[in-house]
Amino acid sequence: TKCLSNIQSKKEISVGPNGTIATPETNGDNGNSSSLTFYLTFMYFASWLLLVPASRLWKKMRPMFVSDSDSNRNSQFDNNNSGSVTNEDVDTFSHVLDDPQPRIPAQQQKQKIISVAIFKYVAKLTVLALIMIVADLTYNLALSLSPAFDVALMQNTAIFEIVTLLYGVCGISRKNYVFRNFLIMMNAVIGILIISYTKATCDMLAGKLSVNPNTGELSDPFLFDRLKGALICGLGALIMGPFAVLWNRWFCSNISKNENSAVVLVKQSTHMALIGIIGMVILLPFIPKFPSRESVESISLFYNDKSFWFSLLGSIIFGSLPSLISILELNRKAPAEYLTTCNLGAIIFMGLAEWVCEPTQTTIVRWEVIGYIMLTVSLLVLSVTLGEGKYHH
Amino acid sequence: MRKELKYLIYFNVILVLFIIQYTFDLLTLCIDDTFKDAILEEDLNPPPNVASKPQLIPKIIHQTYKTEEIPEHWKEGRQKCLDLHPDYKYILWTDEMAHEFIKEEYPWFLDTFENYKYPIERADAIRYFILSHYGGIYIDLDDGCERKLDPLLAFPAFLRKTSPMGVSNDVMGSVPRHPFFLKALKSLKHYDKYWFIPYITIMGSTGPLFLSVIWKQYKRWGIPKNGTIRILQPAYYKMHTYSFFSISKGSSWHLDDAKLMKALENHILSCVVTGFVFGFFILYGEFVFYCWLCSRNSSNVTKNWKFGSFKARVAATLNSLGQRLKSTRGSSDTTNNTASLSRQQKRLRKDSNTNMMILNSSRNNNDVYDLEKNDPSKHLLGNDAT
Repeated sequence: TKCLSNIQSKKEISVGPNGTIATPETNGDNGNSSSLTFYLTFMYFASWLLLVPASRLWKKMRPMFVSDSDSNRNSQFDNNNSGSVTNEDVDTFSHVLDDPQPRIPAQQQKQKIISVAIFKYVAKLTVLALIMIVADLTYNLALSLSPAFDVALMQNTAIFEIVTLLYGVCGISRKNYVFRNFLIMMNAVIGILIISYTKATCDMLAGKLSVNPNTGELSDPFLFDRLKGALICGLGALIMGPFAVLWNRWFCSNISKNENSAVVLVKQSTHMALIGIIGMVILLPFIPKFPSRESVESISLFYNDKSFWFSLLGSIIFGSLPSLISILELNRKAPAEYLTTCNLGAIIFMGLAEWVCEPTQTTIVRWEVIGYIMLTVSLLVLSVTLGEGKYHH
Repeated sequence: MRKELKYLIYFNVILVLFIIQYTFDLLTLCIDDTFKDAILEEDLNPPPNVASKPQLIPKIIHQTYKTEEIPEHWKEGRQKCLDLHPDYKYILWTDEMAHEFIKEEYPWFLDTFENYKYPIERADAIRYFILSHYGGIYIDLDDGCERKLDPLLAFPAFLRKTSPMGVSNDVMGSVPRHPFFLKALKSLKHYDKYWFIPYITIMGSTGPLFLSVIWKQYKRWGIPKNGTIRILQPAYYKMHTYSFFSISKGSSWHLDDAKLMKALENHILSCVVTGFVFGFFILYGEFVFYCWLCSRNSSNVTKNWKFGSFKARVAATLNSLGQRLKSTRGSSDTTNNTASLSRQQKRLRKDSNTNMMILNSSRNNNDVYDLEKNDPSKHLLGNDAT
């Protein structure tokens, strides 16, 4: 988030000894003002293609990290299923073909069944890709309007709330100790509320808000932008609730417990990569929107800037990829609702990142610390209560 | 789908639809389309070769105050307006004049006018009536004139854009009986509501929020012929060399709650977060209520509502840890029993519909009952063949 925010907030880039040139965002070119948002969304989907090699690498390296007993269990499992666990299992369409279908000898009917299954599978991926596009576009749009911390806080709060709610209503999460968990969750969100309130008193943007001595009116040029950013990001992130529910229904419910976890990871990574491809295809028409020659030149210069690519690669390698792989792993190993604790953790780590990246611009007040303590304690308790009793390898 | 869940979903859908319907005008305000109707530079300063537009708005300046005794800090601004516009008629509407005017010209509104809770509501309302009745330009007393208002007379009506959205009512101009102001004064009765917080009550009943909502409604289904409204952009309002007005110290109607509103603007992120937290509280609270309703039908789930069970499990975990330590020295059987029961309960939570009683038969054998491997019917009380 921080890296993407840096890219979005870049107002001008250096072009060598000649000085600087304004980015397309600052040229006031309305037709091109959203191109960076679309481009960053496109790049985010492109990074999903790396999930397959990353998960294959993780599959190979996994024996080095797991304990001997687990390793033996897995190797035993692999031996027992030699021949059955092959590359075919990693086949993208295998899960849809796993459904028990009547064995009809006629080749034509078999092909028809396969084509219907493939169509259904592609439709599912397309739905998920469309949802993801909305969520990611609003996220990037909000980053161009609001500070990174505001966006991270708003996005994670919205996702935490909607996923918790929909998992409960749709029967994905267990209905155990709901009242107790509700109280803990409320404690966590009140902690977030305290953080969001105190943050405004001590961040840099708050310094821009001043009172006109002549009129007594407030003059904050970014007030409405921050409001828009928070609303766009929060409302856009709500769509991640249906995404999480559909992902669990379509791609997690049919996983056998005997299936090798590394193979499942590769399978799910393949689904994600395909969603990424579909997302990129859908976004393609919006990307090269260059209304004038000048903007083509400036946007090309923008992409030539090293810091742009460093920030982007940093966000992918240290942000989205590890995050996605860990989410896939966690979603399989722990109860579904346990995943929501990641959002609370993300808020805490965003605060830490802000503090580490901008130590001179960060002022910490007492109530902010109290908010973080409330959030952290709630997170720890939730991670114990939500994750209990269902860890499997 | 269970009946309770259905009812909850229906209730929420109806609630959301009701909220959307009730706040639709406010929601549409978020879409800022003031630029479409903006008064442009070429409108205010037409090129020399272009014929000047006819002046539609009569040359009258209206201002309002309680009495004719205007506070010292507003006299300068008022005098500037008078000095710049010697050819304009000037009317200062006092409370008494306003009351008489409504009584004589708009008696149907007198009851509402007299019963407004705050005097500023009367001051707001009267400006819509006088603009609709006489036409002219209304200027708040804390707005001083900086240049001649003649270019603004070329439009049938104009309002001023305010921040962050909508229009304000501190500077307005109109021809007599302009359809927008007719609509505004007809709507005053409907919007005369008390919202407990003075700032919101004033803004929503007669103030800028009321005017903005009416403006949105007015534009929604198409503007009537000769009923256009142009919007004066902030730069032409104040703070620039070419602005029409300057601001004196004012905002006399702002009470303490206005400071609260300004403070909320400082914490705009937390305002949005509060909305999300409140929504979560309501919706997840309903879900918890639904779970409670379901639990009434199955006694075994009732234990989930007791904190005692959580304490028991913590105690069982501690016992289990203690038992592990003791086991190196040779532990007693009682601790094993507790730990075993704890494990049984843990397994039981995976299936909240399974009665605790089915474990009784296996408890004696001190083994862990696995719901996924064993047939529960074998262990039900009375069916235990072993």
